[in-house]
Amino acid sequence: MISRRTILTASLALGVSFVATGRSAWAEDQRILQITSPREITSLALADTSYHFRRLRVAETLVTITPAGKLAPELAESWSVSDDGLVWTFVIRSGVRFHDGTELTPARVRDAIELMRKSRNNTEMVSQLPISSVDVDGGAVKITLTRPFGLVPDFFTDGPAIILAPSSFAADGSVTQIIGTGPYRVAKIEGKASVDLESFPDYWGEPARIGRVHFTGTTSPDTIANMAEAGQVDLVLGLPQALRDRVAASGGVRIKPVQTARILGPIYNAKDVRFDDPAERKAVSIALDRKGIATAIFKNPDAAANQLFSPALPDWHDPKLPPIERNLAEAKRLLASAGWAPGPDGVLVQKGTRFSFPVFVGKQPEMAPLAQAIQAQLAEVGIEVVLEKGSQAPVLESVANGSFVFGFTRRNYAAVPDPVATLLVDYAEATSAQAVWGGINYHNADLESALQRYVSATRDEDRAAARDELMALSNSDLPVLPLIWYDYNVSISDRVDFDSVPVDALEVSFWIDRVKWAD
Amino acid sequence: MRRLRGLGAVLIGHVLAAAGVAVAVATLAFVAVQMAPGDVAFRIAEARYGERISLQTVDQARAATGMDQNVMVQYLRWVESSLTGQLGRSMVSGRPVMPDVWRSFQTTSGVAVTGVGLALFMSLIIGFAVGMQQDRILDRAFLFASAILSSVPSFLIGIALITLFAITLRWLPAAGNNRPGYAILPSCTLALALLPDLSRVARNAVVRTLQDFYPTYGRIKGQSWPRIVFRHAFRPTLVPIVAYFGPLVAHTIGGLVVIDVLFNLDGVGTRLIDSVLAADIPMAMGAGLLIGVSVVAVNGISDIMVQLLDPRLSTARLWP
Repeated sequence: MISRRTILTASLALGVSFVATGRSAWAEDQRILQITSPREITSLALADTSYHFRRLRVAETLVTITPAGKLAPELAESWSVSDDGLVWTFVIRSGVRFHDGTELTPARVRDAIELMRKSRNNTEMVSQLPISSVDVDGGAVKITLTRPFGLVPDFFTDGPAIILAPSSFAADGSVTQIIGTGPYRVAKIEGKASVDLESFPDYWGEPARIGRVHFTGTTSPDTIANMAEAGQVDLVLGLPQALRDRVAASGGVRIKPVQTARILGPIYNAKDVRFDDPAERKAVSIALDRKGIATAIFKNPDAAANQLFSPALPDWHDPKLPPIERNLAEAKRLLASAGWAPGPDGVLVQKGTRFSFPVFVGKQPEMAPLAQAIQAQLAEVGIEVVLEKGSQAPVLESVANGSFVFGFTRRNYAAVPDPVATLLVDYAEATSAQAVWGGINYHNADLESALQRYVSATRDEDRAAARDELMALSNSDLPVLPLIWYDYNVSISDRVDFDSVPVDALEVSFWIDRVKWAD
Repeated sequence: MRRLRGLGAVLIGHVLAAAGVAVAVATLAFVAVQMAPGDVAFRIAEARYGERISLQTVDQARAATGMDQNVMVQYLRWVESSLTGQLGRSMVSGRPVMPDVWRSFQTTSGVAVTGVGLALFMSLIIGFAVGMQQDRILDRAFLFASAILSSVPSFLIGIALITLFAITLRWLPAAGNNRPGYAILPSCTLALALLPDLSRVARNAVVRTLQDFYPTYGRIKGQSWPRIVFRHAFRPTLVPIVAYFGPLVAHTIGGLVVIDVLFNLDGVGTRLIDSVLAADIPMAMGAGLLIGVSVVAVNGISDIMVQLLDPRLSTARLWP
């Protein structure tokens, strides 16, 4: 016979055991550094998650970038270039072992570079280099170019330029596991959201300070915020800007923000009748209230961008440039000078074409309010913006089928430390036809000439002159309308030594091997 | 013998139904991917490369995944690979579909079994507690409260539980499935979402059973209420509850997708939705197939249990 008391006791015991299981589970893994970021491991393809495994300090490149943004040796001890600028020599670090115990050799580096060269993807930098041959020369690898190119070390900091052990690859060349040389090795990858890391005892450099790390990939911004507020994660690397204040107010965590080289801004089709005149682009630019958007949506008035390159790129940022102030009267005048007149419903019209276009709004938490703000602000000068849901794919599809007019880019100009690499992909004649995220159909012969002079310069003063011209052209032509410079936010729990967490403005690495526990 | 024959017929019916439903759901997933607006290759490339998507990566994705082939060829290719039990490779990750779908299924079934079990356990307690008090204040209060609670969406329940147990008390993880206690809040969310309806079914079953002849006969014989309830009324009360399991499981799948997203679980429902949005046809069909099979399996188990609980139903035709 089961009494009512028995049932109640059993229910209570079940509830207590549930909670106890959770609490003991929590206690057991407290010494694992729990980190999360809004990125999942969708595949192991180099073009995809190589960036991620480099950030997790599993895989390394020949050359790296310090948190201060300077080039630094990693798997290459040093590098040099011949006087004619055609032969680059990378001395390969000795005593480096892959996580499977095999040794890093110059021959392995040569093979890896040959594989990178085969990529036909314009988002991978090494394949853009004018390489004619790669050879082993003792303990070094010699890269011979077809023409001088000053950014070779910069291009080898790119994510897909990680050097993996041969055992990482299947017979068909696809990556089946990540066997790198970094201070952490992969212990387990489970699904797309869970990676366990452990420190690699044979690491060539300073060993990781924390032995075990668990990474959780989380694409839902609210879930990230919940995890940070619950103290479930020690580091949130890339806390969405819109959630920064909410998480900071929860207590138990502190936020370290840094301004990145990533810009958020509108891009347009320069051949479309609505944007083919520089006056139209300028009108749209000054119709936007940057300060208001930066303050209300991004909670940071300093995020208002007045040029393409943020202060995170000090050599490329012009601190003397004034803010772009909103000026509706001037915007209307410019639009009128370009032949646009208000139609019966108030929307501008030119030869039967309405100044109206669709914009795809991505799922990032800041994008919906941003798009609504732009829609309202442009409406005040007679421009109609129709908001549609969709992220990169529909934008790219509209570019491919020729219907693209206007969209948003979240362009990182520090994919490699020198922003010229990104400018080359976006605006050099050889690649710009395939490039989208720097604007569509924008061509400027002066800009392309300056790009070529910059990369082939052998003297610093020549390079500086070309850089000044590139900055002036990008800030006057507005191929991307500068709107917001993104912050990179790291939420740090009080279990972690706040000062030990480097925050990387160029988004190259999480530098988790340098992180220490608070005690 | 007659009862065994009845059970066998039900079993065969469900095995045939499982095969049919699995193929139908997988085919629907394939059609859903094809019907979604936009070029499939762009969606695959976006899922695969994220913000590094370019026109070249789209071309690569199209060639690598065979999306440049005829739709029927793509479908038949999947049928061919599923006949070998492999379900093909994901167009996004490049990994074999089966291990990923199976791992997601395990995550989902862990949460679902715990949540449904908890809901069943609690609903039986509540059902008996209020059913034995029919039309009294406790019963009326329950009917009123359950009507209100059944309209609360599961994500609100989940947010409330996260706020209380994860953020405020910090007893349980807010999300993720790398901690042993990860399933508690998702399971409780599911249980609380199912509880109002399941408790009403239990309550109504108890009321009907107690109105039957044998409880009255037991009382005439001088048996105690607990003896009447647990020796005589418990089993017949279970019949409608177990029969309710079929629609309950179908209802649960929708709720589980919400729970997956809220708690960052790599469950099979999220995998199905993500793969349809990403046009990852093999993954969508694999996840759809597993969901279809599991719904039919639960229906089958439910039917068999009903027959075991009430042998009079063994001659009834439970499967159309």
